Amino acid sequence: MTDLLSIGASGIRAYQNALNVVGDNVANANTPGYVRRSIILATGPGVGAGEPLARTVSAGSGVITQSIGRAYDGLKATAARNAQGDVARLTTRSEWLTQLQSALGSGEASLTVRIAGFFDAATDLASAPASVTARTLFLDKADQAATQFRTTADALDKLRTNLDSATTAATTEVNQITAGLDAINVQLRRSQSAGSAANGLLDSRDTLLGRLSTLVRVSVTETVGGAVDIRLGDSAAGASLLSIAGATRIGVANSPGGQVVVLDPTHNPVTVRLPASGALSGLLDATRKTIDAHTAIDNLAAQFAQGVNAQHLEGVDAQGLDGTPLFATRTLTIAAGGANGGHAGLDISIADLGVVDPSGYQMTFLGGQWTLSRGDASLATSGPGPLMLDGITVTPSGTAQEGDSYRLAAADGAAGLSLRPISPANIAASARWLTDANPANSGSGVAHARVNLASIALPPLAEYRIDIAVAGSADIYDPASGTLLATVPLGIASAGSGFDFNISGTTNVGDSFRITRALAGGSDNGNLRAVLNLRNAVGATGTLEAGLDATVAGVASSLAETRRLGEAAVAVAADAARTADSVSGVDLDREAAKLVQLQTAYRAASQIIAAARDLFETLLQAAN
Amino acid sequence: MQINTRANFEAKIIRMSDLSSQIDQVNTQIATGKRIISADDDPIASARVVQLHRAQITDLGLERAVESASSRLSVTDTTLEGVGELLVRAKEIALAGANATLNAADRSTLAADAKNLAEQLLGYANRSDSDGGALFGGARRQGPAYAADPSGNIVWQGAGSAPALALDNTLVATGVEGPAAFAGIAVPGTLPPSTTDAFQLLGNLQIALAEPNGALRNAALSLATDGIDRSIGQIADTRALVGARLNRLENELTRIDAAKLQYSRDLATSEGIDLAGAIARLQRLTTVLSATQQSFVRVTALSLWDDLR
Repeated sequence: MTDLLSIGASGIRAYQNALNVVGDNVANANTPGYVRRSIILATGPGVGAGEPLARTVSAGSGVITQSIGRAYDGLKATAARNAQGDVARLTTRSEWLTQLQSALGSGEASLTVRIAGFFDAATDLASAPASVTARTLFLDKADQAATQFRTTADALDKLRTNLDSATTAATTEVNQITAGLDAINVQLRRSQSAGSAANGLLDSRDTLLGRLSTLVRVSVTETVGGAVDIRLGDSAAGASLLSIAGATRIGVANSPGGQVVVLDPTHNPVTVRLPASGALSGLLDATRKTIDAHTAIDNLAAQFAQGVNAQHLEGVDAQGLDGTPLFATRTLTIAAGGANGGHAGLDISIADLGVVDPSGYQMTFLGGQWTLSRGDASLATSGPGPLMLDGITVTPSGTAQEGDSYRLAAADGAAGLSLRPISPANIAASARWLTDANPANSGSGVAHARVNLASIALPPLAEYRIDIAVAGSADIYDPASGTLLATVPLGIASAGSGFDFNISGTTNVGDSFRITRALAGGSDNGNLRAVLNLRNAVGATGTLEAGLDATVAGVASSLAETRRLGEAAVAVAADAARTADSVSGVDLDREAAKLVQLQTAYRAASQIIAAARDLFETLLQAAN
Repeated sequence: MQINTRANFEAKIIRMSDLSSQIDQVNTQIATGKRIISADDDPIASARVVQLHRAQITDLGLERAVESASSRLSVTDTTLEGVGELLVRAKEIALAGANATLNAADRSTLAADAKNLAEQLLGYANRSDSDGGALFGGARRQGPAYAADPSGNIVWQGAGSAPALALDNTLVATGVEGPAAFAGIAVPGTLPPSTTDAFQLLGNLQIALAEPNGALRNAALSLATDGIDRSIGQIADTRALVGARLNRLENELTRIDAAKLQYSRDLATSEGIDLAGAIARLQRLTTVLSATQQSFVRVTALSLWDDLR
């Protein structure tokens, strides 16, 4: 009878445990990372051998809780984790590429529209070169194009900064997770038993592994007590992130064309190849794309500004003066020294046509005064400020600490592009040298003059006359004095004064031509037509606009591709997660059914105890 | 297979939000009338759209340039027409002056007429275009195209050639340089060959009419008539040239009009939306979403826990 009582009691204990497990499962039905617990009951161990004062074996020994396990399938969990990592990579990539796409602008606020606007304004101005309205609009459009280049460069810079901090945050998180897993490993090795405390640790371990996999692809090896070794990538030969020796930190370092992941960045940096999965790899992909786009935009800005400037220099403006550059192409960016203790601010202004040194500048506060020096230290100036060097004025404000320094880096490309402060009259629409033929000419020859500043064969004059006195050669006269300046052969380009000239077509003896410098208020549009030809000029990446289109389309198509791959990866990940969850997840209906089942068993076990008590009382009464 | 309650709910929620975002996209497409909202919706079509938009705007600019060139050439043509009529009158004067029945007073009246015509011719030659620039000054627009030099000869003040309009790699001059219209008239029988211009011819006419000797006068008048005839011919040739250019510009305008139509068609196919299709798609998506929502409510309402007492 005591046997029966203890058997009943063992049932009560076991089903209480089982009910606890069901309760735990139901309570955690919505907890991410929770793995369904399952209880395994076993027959109680047979005790004794039928000796006096001991239970008989034949009576049985009740039920015991053998273990509370986790319904966990390592392979399925790994597949789900890895699939989740692929999704994270593509999602991250597509988020940042979307930002990159919008940084490149769309609609009215895009480079393609602004550059087209510049050339369209040039077309309008070419058809009315003297119109002040057309000139003003042309300058406005040139300003808009330069501003859009700057805005785009700015947006790309900001994007790059954000990407860099997101990348740093991701590596920091990886390091925190591996450190956390290291701590869990230590506890798991210590406990080594499959108790419910260990189950909780294993849940935390799996949650951390899941988070780690969304950042980088890792391979996980389970060792004693559920402790894990972690390597980067899929193979067992990957760099070790976590082993019994502890966690290895990772970091990122700049490399040409992007960023790379390095192991142990502070002590023994080793560059490792990052597998193409996880948010970190998505971030590095996006960084590379952003850098590529920035380089492309910088090259296009250089192609645009250099082409327009060079052509503009060859013209003559409405005042009869030689053209000057239309765009300034270099600016300075300020970077404060890392060890600066003060709170000084710098205001930089660059004078028009100021020649900013390509090596940049250094601004240092030493001995109670500021020193502004070129980056290559070839020239320097000191004083309390403002300081001037190479047409650059730097005005310090606020208080600086001794030794504070600022680096002023020369920025070319899109960031440095700006319209020079020129007036509408300064637009060099006209070609510098105009040619015409004497109406009395019997030949059909046409004179051409092309700007070449290196040509100094003739004295500088405003007008030259070319007479064909002998077949095959031309005499160059100063028409004002009638002096013969030179005799040159026909059919090849000859040097003039700041120009080269030749005569094409057939000429007869007695034909005469003129080369005159364009005067103020001319209606020639030759130089603007040359500027317009830049629209069709082929550079390294085709025409300006084709290069721009290719850059934008490149980003768009890799974004579209990433989206498509992302959709597929989400489907795969959902499948893998469902498969893993079907093992590890909680089904509330199933738990409800179990609850009913266990409650019944519990009631039955308590009935056993009641029966034992009844039997005992019957026996006592019989003894009375 | 066991159904995981949490994953099950999440999957349904993801499905419904996916449907919602699809509905939102179709809605935006219908509202904007465009299939491509951002470049990544269809990178290839979107690159094409950018090119089409650019070509469209460039053609609009070209259209303005062609119209302004046309107007300048039309003014040139009208002026040259006036010059032609003026020269015909000068020829009539020359022919009338050769009439032996006229006396000296009559001839001096004719000479006054010729002087008047010469002044008118200078007026025509110094006409300005709608922007106020010299019409016949070539690349110089400020100041008159023709002015008298110290010895009284009317000399071209311009230089270079008239501003050109670039059309498909060819240049169309938007004006006529003075000498091409008025100068370069060959004087017959001179060696080496020499040329004269319309101003000089009208000057010669006045001098010839003042000549008292009948034989010399008639020879000079005959020479002037001959020169004026050549000059009339040159003006007619110049007008033909201007007409040809106007024609070329007219053709360009026709091309631009045709291209405009083609661009809007191409844009419609590249980025436009098939409205009927889009609305049908929207209808289908909303139906599916509403069905998904209802089935979600039904299925999730089935729980064993409700039946536990």
